[in-house]
Amino acid sequence: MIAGNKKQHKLFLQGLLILAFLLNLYLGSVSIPLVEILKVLSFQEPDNAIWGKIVLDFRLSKATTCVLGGAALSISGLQMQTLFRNPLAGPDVLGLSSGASLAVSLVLMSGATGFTLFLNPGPLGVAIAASIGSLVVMMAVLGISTKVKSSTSLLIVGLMIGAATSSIVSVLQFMSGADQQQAFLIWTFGSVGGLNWNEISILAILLLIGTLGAVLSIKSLNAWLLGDHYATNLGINLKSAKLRIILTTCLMTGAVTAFCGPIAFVGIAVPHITKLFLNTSEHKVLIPWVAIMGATLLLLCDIIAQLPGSAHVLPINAITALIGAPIVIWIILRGNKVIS
Amino acid sequence: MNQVLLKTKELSVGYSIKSGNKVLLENLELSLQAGELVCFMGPNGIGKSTFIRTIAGLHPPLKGETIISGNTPLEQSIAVVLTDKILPNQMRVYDLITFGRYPYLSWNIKLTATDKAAIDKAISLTGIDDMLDQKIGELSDGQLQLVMITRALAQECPILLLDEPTAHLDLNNRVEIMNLLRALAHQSNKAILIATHELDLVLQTADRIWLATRDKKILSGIPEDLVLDDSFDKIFQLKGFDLKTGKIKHHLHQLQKIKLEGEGSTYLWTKNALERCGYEVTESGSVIIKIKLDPTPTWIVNSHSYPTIESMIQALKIVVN
Repeated sequence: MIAGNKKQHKLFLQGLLILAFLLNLYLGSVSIPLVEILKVLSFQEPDNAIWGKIVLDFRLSKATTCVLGGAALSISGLQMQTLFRNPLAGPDVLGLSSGASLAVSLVLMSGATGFTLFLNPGPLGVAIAASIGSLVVMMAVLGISTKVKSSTSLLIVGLMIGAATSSIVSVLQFMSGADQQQAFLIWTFGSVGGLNWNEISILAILLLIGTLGAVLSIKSLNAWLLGDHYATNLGINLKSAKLRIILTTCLMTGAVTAFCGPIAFVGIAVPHITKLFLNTSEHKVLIPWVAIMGATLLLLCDIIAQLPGSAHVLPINAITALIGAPIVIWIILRGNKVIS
Repeated sequence: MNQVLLKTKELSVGYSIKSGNKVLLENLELSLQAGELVCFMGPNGIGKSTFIRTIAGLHPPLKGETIISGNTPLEQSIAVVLTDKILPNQMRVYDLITFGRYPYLSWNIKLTATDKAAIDKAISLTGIDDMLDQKIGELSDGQLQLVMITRALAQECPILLLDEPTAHLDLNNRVEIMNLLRALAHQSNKAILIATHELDLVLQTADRIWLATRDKKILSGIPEDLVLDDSFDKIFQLKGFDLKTGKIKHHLHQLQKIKLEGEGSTYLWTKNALERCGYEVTESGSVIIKIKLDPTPTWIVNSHSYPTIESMIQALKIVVN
């Protein structure tokens, strides 16, 4: 009975992902029949050559970014929640997104502060800067993690780094011009569009490496549910497992943040929704399904972002927060029941 | 002489803090033998849990070392049941027990026939077959303790260390778990160490007792020796409990002495009741109480019969005063 239910749930999730993906391709400022979209996807010539270009270069790249970004953030969130034994842990809580934000703000607003880091910050420059920003925070958090033993302390350190970086960002904003402020503000809204296939393939490779690391950590992650002592007694090398989990998380979060902006709440919310749906704490099951769920959620958020009309697209971060915030409140209200 | 599975050499246990080391127990020379159930006792806060974690390799020693016999890796030599709170409330009991096989599994945690056999054997030993599909969060404290012991057994280690496995359990569960561990030590030839406060149970089940003293040592001996040389009284500073008789001391305030005639458990419990009410029971007692067992237990005082101990004692109060 339970097994049958789970199978139905899994089928439902798979169906939902495909549906969300197709709907995401279907929606847009130019209406293209679904049949034509399917034609493009199966490498056939559509009736209108422009349609092919729109679907491949705009919509498919955007939907693919949603899939990759959602999966990466969700796997990162799952790993963090297990590692810190804290249902409210997420990639953004560690301060990685803040580090990326600081780096991006330095790039976009540095002209006003008197020293110029990049003369002409292109999208790739922003991406590289954001990655370096997350990397710096990651090194700092890693360094501190050898000093503080408890995971809770590490979480607080992450929050403090976030607070410190956002105050520096505020100073930079105060000193910079309107144009630069706007460019930075738009980046913070988050965007899954506008990536070229080159950037998407970088994102895909980083996600692949990160997922591989997560899969290799399945045993450690499971054992961690029983706490440090039991995990050690079961033969888990805590230090190397911790390092691997933090590294893969930073890699995936850094990449997504660089290309799509600081997308909040996906990493924290998706693991909980997945656990609720599949009713399991087993990471062997959770990792693939959290990835699928994350991809679906970001696709749906992007669909909602396009709803108001054909010309305007809402910032994706507004939508993820709208869905994610109630889930976080629900987690707090449910207390210990949903910890794992 | 049994095989020694674990030995401590000049081991000192405690914590490193800023102002130096906080030593809890020092210079320990102890050995744990196969087939022996050792109960580790001592007052609260003396360092029992820290000691268990230290010899299990989960906490660094301040000095000295713990030597495990054989060449198997630590995770295949020592299994633990700790007081740590565990998280996976949604996890099935069976899945939690499979964690015991992790020391033998590679990254993809695929259970082989050997692993499944070990799990099934552990389950049959603790007899928790009916709980396997339940969620961890739905279990009572006693059930969870049995599950954690099963998980440790599935790890198939020659040494088993348990920290307060019977805390918060009712008498029935406590006895069940202690008997189970004792049987395991004797039948599977495991070395089992239990940190516990259950003095009464320990005295009746332990093969050996390790007693942590207030001067940071651990005394080792069989229960009876430690009782008779007053070690327990010194360490626990027992108040009103006579360990040598295994009973609470009663203040015998009644003037009358009683001679009790009878046998078996009825005799013992009648004596218990009389002493609890302050009467001294002795051969030279002036009031004679006879216990007649046939057809039903009857207590006879001054040729009056009483059907219960309660009614007999009520009458006694009137007779002797």
